[in-house]
Amino acid sequence: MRAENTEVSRTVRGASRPTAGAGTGAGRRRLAALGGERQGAARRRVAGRVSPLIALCLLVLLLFALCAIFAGPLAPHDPTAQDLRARLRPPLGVAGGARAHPLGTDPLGRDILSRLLYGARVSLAIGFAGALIGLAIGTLCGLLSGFLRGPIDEAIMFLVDVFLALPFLVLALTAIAVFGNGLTVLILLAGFSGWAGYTRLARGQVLGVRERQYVLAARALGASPPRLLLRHILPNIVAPLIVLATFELTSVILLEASLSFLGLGIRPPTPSWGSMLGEGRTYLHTAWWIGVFPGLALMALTTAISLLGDWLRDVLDPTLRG
Amino acid sequence: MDPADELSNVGTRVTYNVYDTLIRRDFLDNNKLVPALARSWQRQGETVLELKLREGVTFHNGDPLTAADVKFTFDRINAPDSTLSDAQGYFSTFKAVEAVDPLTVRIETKEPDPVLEQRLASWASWIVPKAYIERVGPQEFAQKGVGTGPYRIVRLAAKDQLALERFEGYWEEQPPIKTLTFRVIPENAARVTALLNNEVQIITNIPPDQVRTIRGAANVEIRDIPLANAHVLRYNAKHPVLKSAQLRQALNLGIDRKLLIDTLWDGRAVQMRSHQFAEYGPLYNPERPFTPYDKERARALVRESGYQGERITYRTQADYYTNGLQAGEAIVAMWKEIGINAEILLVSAGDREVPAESMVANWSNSSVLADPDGSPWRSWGQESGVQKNYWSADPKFNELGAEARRTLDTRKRYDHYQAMLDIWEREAPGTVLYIPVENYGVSKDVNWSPYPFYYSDFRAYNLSFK
Repeated sequence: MRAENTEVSRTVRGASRPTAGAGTGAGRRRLAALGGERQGAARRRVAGRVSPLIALCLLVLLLFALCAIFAGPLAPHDPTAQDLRARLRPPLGVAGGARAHPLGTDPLGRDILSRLLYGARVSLAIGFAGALIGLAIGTLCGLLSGFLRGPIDEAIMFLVDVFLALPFLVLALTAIAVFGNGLTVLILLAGFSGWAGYTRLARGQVLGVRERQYVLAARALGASPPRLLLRHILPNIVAPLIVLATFELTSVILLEASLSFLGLGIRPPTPSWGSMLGEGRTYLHTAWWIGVFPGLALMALTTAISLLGDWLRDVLDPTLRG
Repeated sequence: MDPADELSNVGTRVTYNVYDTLIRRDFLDNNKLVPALARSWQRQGETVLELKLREGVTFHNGDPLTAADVKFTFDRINAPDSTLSDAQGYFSTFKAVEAVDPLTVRIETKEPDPVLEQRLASWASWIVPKAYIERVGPQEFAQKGVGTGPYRIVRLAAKDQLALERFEGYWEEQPPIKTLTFRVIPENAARVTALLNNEVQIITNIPPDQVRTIRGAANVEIRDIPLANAHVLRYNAKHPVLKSAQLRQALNLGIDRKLLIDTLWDGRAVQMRSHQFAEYGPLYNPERPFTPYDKERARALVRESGYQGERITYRTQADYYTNGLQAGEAIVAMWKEIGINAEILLVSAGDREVPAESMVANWSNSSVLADPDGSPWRSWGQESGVQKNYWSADPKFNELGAEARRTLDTRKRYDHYQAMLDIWEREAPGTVLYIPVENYGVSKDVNWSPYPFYYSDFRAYNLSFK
C-alpha cells in the first residue's frame, strides 16, 4: 500500500515538472523544483544565515519604506511646489548648489529631494500592491487549475499561455488608452502583469502535493475540497510563491517606472521616480541631477529586493541547503 | 512632396526649396513683397489682380512655366472635389483665375480682398506643373514633386533622409551647393552630437534649456528667431464650468506671462500686446498694453463668477509645443493661487479631442499672412473650429471681421481689428501666452538665416560660406 502510494506520488510529480518548468525566466525554472514539505525547518534556520550584504539590503528596503511612510515630515518642501526663479539649481556640493535644495531642483524649480521621498510612495505602493494582487490571483487560479484538473485546468492554462505570448507593455498601453492612467488602473495593471507566472508555479506545486499521503489521508477522512485546498495544500506550496513574489516586485516597480517614463504612468504633478527619470533624460547634459537621483534610487531599491529574493530562495530551497 | 498638401512644419522646410510662389515675402527685408515667378502685378478695380509672369522659367522636368500652370495650381485647390482642404482655407476669397495669355494671369475675388498679394506669397501658393500632374496623377506627384525651385528632388534616400540636388536651370542665381540633404534625427542629444561632429551643418528645434550645450562649442553657434506664431490657450466657453466670461477673464489675469518668458524661455520669447504680431505693419497697434497679469483682480473675478471649485483640466501633449508641458504645469500652479482647481490632462498625439469634454487646451496660432486676417481671424473667426465648437462669439466680432477682410481702407481695417481684440479680450475665449523662439544650431562657417516660419530657405541670397 505504502509503496504504491509513493509510486503514484512520484509519477504525478514527475509529470508536473515539465509544465511548471516551462515558465519564463530562470527564477521561475529554479523555483519549480522547490519542494514544499521541509520549509518549517528552513524557516528556523533563517536567522543564522543573514550575511552583511543581506543585512544591507534589508536596511535599504527599510530605509525606503520609512522614506515613503514619513515623506511628509522628512521632505523639506512640498513636492509639487514650484519656484520658477529657482529652476534647475544644482545639488549641494556642486557650484551653485544651496542648502535649501540639497539634491537640486527640476525645470519647474521643484525640490528633487522632496519629490524623491514622495516618489518612493508611488513606487512602493504600486510595487507591493501589484505583487500582492498578482500573488492572490495567480495562487487562486493555480490552486483551482491543479486541484480540479479537467476542462477548468485546460481553460486556465490556455489563458496563461495566451497572456504570456503577448508583450505585457503593449497590453498595458492599450489598457491605459481605454481606462486612463489613474493610480487604481496602474495598481491593477501591476497586479495583472505577474498573474500567469504565479498560476503556473502554483499549479505545478499543487500537482506535486495533491497525491501526497497527508492529502490523501485528509481526503479519506472526508475533508471537503475547500478544506483540503486551504488547510493541506496551500500551506505547503506558499514558500516558492513568496520567493517568486519578490522577483515580481522588482518587475512591477520597473513597470510603473517604464510607464511613467513614457509619460503614461502617474499623472503630473504627482512625483514618481519613473516620470522624474523621463524628464531628466533630456537634461542629462545640462542638469544631470534631475535624472540621476531617481535612477540611483530605483537601482538601489530593485537591487536590494532582487538580492533579498535570491537569498530567500536559497534559504527556502532544501536542495541548496548545505 | 505636394506643396499644397504637405503644409506641416517639417514639410515646408523641404518644399520651400523645391517650389516658388508668384510673389515672395522677403523675410530678410521687413517682410516686403518682392517679385518671384511674377515679375509684376497690378490691381484692376477692387476685385481683380493681374500678374505678369517671368519669361523663360522652367520646371525641373523641362516644361516651361505658363499662365495655365498658375490657373491649374489654384483651381486644383479650390475644386469642389479637392482633397487639399487645408490649402483651401488660404484661397477661399477667390472667384476665378484666368490665363489671359501664356504670361498673364488674372485673379478675381468674390469681394475686395485686401491681402490678396499676401496670400500669393504665403502658404500653399506654390506653383505646380499642370501637364506633369495631369500625366502622372496626384499620387505620383506627391512621391516625386516637380517645381520651379532652386533644388529638385533626387531621391528619398532612406526612411529618414531626403536628398535634393541643385537645379541647373533655375531662373534666379544658383545656390553655392550641389546637394542639400534633410535628415531626421529625433533625439536632441544625437542631433547636437551630429552638429558638433560636423556630420550636419544645421540642426533644428533645440529646446531652450539645451542651448547651453552648444554655446560653449568652438565651431558652431546658436541662431534663434522669434516665430511668426503665438502659443495660446483656448477655453471651451460652452463648457458648463467655463461659461462665465468673468471666470475666463480671471484665468487670463492669473497667468504671469513675463515669469514664464524669463524662466522657461530664458527671457527670449516675446511678450504680446494682445493677439497682435508686429509684422502687421500699419495694422499693428504698438500702444496696446501687454496682456496683463493681476492676481488680486483675478481672485476677485473668480469669486464674482460663482465658481465653486470644480475641476478644470488643462490639455497638453508632453512634447508637442516647446515648453508646452512645463508652461502648462506652471500655469496650473499659478491658477491654484487665484483659487482655481486645475490639473494637467496629459494626452498623446493620437488622442482625439472631444469638444464637449474639453476645457482648457494649449494651441498655437501662426501668423500665416503678415496681416490680422492670417491670425487672429483665421484661428478665431467665424469659419474657425473655435467658433464651431468652443465659443459663441458676440455677433459684432464676426461682423467686424467679415467687413475688415473685404475693405481696402487700411485705417478702417485697423479700427475694426482693434475693436475685435477688445471683444476677444472681454469674452476671453482664450488668451495669448507669448511668441516662442526657435533655436537652430549652425556651423559658424555657414552664412544662413532662419526665418520666422519653419521654412528653411537655401536660395543663393540666403546661403554662402566663409
